Amino acid sequence: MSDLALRAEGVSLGYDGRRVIDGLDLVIPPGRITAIVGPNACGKSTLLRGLARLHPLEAGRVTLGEDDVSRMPRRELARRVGMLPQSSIAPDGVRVAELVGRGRYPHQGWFGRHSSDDDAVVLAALESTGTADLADRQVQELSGGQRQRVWIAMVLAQQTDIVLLDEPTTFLDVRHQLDLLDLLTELNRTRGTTVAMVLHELNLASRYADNLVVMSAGQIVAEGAPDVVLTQDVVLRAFGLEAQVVRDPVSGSPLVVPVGRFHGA
Amino acid sequence: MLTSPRETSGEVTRPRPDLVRQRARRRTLALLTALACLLVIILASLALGVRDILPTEVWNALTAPVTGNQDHRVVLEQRLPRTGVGLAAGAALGLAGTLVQGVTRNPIADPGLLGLNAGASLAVVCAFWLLGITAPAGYVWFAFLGAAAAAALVFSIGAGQPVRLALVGATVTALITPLITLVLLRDPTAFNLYRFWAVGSLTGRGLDTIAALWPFVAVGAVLAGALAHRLNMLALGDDVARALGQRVGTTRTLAGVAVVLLAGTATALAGPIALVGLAVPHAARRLVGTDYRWITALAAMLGPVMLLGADVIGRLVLPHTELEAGVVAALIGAPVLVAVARGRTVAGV
Repeated sequence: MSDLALRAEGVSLGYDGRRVIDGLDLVIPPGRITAIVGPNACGKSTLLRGLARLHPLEAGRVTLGEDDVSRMPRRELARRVGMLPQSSIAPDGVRVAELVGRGRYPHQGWFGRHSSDDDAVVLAALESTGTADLADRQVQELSGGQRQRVWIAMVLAQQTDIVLLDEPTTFLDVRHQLDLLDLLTELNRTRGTTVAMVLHELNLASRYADNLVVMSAGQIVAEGAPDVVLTQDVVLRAFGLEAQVVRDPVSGSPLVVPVGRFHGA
Repeated sequence: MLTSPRETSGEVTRPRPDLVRQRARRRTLALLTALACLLVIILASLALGVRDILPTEVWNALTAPVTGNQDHRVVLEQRLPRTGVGLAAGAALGLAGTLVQGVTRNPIADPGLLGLNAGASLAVVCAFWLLGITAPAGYVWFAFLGAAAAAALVFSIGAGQPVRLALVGATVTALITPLITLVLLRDPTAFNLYRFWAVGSLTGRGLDTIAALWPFVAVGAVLAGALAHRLNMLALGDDVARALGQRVGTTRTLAGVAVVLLAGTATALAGPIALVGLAVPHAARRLVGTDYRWITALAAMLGPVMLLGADVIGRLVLPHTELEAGVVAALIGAPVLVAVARGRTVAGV
């Protein structure tokens, strides 16, 4: 458990000279679950990648506590901030335990000798993601939901206080989406792990996040507790979407019910 | 669910230690078998050839050579150097192929993909044509420099992006190949010399050439070993490798240097040999799985097993004459690749 905040200060990001995000400030509060939502191409993934130093900053800086993330040795950053990007590849034939073991990389020497400590951490990561029974299976044999759990186990094996995830629920059916978000909540509650993720599904973000960041066109439209943030007006401004916001009968969090052209008033 | 490992020794066996041990045993066995094969092939390479020499005479030649003894001369001046060339070039090709496939995550990548063979060929042809150099000891350096120059060009343009790297490599090869043809069409002497170099052969290189070039292979091999674990992370994608704390650019650059050293030397020593660099990593992967530390170690042994093995077979198949190692390696390599491709675990790059 860490009480250091990951912070973006005047951050600008872009691709080949095209600015996607211009001078953005954001705080990822420690020990909380932050969800970043917004329409396609609003820059939410780019922002997350910038926070994790997977995308170069054109201006501004990202800090972790007092430290400038871009000046930190990559290895040290990897011991403090874990990141599960969208573009992860499981090599053919790699087994679950082996893949999760690779999460130990930032803690190991050049040749990556496994210590008994490493084994214990890997086992704990498998246990806590419910993938221990799959340890000997090949990753490509697994279902989408299982595979995503395995990737999360790898990030857990990295033992970072902060975990960033780029659309971890993509390609999962609704049950597996819930499972995964439950798992992340459990990690957050029991270990105090800071979780920040880009999510597509507004209502799941609203239910699971302590802190909701709504983006549009590279800017933050609103941020804060979902209760406060997720209003009809914000949904309209961010997504250009007519919607009613009602109360989720299960969690009590705001539930966005879109209108569309053929239904409702 | 979030419990420590101690508390959950319930009904299900957690990661099966017996299976893990079994796999580790299989890997060790594969490595030891490869080593044994290599030793046998080294002995065969010294003992077998067009000229029948008794094993005892081979031993005498190595331990107490008699000047003027024709058998001893053949062993020391022909078989010993070509064994050395086969070892160095084979290991270099196996390692270079592994590195190239690992760095580009491209299962059909081999050092030739980076334009190395084309660069070496052009330089050798120019040495024949412009400078009239015909001795291996002279033109190996041109081959080496040509390979290095081509690879440097390809790496500097295609830096970082596997697909771009492959495209640039193919382009450079496509650009250089007609230039070679152009020279060869104009100069029949160069053409004759080139034919024998380009087919890929271990013969005609003296111990002095090996002595001059082996340090490049040694440095390349050490680098390959040191990079092996980094390739494991790179296999998960650039982003994951970075997120795990790897400086991906550094890995690619170091791998590029190692590939130039290894494949450049191999091409200089034995000519542009196809399929060894491509087939060996696949065979190794098939035998020991996806961990590049094991793949690299095994590839360093399977490379010379394949190349030197091809050379020995080439000495024996035709009566009174030899088939070049490059030809035999291609004939062996193709079925190996097909077998791997038909198997369960293709190209776990």
